[in-house]
Amino acid sequence: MGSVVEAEGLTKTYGPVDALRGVSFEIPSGAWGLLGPNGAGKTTLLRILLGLTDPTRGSVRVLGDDPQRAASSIRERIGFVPEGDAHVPGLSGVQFVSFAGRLCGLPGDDAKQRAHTVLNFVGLEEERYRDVAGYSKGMLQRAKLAQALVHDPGVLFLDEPTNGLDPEGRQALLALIRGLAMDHGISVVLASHVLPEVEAVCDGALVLDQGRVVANASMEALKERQQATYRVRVRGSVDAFETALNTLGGQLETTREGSLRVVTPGDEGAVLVLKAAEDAGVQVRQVEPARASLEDALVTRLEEAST
Amino acid sequence: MSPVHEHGYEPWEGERRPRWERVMAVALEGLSRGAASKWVWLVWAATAVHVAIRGGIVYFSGQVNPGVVEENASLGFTSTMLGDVLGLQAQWVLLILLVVVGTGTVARDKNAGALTFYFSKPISRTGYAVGKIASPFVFAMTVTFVPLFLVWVLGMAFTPEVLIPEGVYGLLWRLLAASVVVSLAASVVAVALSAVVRSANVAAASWVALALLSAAGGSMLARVSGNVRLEAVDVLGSFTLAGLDVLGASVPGDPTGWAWIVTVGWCVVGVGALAWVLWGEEVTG
Repeated sequence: MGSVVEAEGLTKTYGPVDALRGVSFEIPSGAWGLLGPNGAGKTTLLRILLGLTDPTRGSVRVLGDDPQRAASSIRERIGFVPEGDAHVPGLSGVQFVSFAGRLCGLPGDDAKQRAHTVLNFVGLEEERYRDVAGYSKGMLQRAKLAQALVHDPGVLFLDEPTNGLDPEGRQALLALIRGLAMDHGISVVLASHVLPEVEAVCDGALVLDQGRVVANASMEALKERQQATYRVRVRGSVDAFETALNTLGGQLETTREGSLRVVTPGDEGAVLVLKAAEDAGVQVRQVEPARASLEDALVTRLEEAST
Repeated sequence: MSPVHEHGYEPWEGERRPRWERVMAVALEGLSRGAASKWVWLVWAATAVHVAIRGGIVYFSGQVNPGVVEENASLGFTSTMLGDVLGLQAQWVLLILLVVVGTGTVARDKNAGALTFYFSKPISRTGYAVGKIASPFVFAMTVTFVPLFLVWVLGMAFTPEVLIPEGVYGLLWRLLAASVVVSLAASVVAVALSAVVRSANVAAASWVALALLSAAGGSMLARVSGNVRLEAVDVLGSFTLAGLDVLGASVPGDPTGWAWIVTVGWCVVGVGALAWVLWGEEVTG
């Protein structure tokens, strides 16, 4: 699996503010998330990758080229779906996407044909002749995806692509994005605050915090530390169970809908849960490894990074 | 809105067009937008009427009473007469036309977040700026060079051969150069105004105010001081005077040098303002 992005000692400062602090990482092809709280450096990183701003120090390569020296060449091979509004006023959907194709160097006829193709692909075929300015938020997001795909890019950068979409539209768009990476060989870099989205779409994620890389790994690796977490149902005194659990070094984290979330130390796992139940005199009705969420993993990583 | 379907994504394999065609695409987008405006057609209609009147004057002066042409050069087929056409077109028709096709260009893009769209594509900021100036420039040429050219053609057609002045074919090139000077300077200033404000309406109002107030100010200063050079304060007037200088039309007094300084100065300021906005704009959404 080749790298889409390679960065080495990447630093960007705005006056006294360090937006990126000597970060080094690789983003492999496929679908990769870009995660981090506000101010983590995600937007700055995207700007550097697109060649819109130069790093203060360090180097970066996108599809093997340096964005500082070959920005136009890189932009011919990438598509970008920005977070905010980004349409040309007064154009219909098909004119807008066709115009995007012309700007990417497609001949006029090809640009028009591709515009129809990608608008069909994103589900805007019936709205293609309407003025983009009159599109709903969901339609605008799809139009932005269409304009990013019209020139058949090798990599797609998406910045919060599901902002403002209803749950159904969100799922549909994410399925489409996932499909691009899985079935059509287009690598996807998805920047999102909605962690389940990244979890659903991406093979891994680059996690940034305060301009530093907190983690850059596959989803499985990111969630690894959560494997010693169990979802437990017991019959009997929960308080007694918690006391016994604490005595054995375990911890009861949350209680929801009758389920207990138990974190066990070391490799003892479910054995410790059963022993605590025996000590507390409660009956265990269910023990299963809790499905770790990316949010859990991210919180853990960020906590580790801050200490 | 229909649901998202997997209609099948198709890769594109083809040869990309050269970079200059992308700049042309930006210009063509502006041209098609302008041509769709009824105001542009009204401006063109007014220009056509102006050309018809000038053609009529040449016709009646040359054909019915050729003696008048010889005695009164301002009615004849001369650079001064063509300069009159340019002056009227530049100071009134061009002023209105650029409200329609010039002052909204960058402001509209800023409002709609289109700068993000443009700058994430393989087009440079310089290419974007050139494309954005090119479309109002072409429209400006339709109300400067085109009427001048038509009057020149009518002059050639209606003026008796013996009265056609010497160097009339060279005059054609000077018409083109004069029109370029006026149209380019006015387009740069209009687009720069469009870039420094966020609203197309504010840009339009600023453009009209700049033209009218500077004209009134220049005229008043020249009258009060008795120094005709102070007329160069008039922005569009100065662009026109520079154009007339290229055309070889005679201008009373000697404000031409100052007019060139003002014209070049406004162009430099305009390009600087445009660069300041485009290179300073946050464009990642």
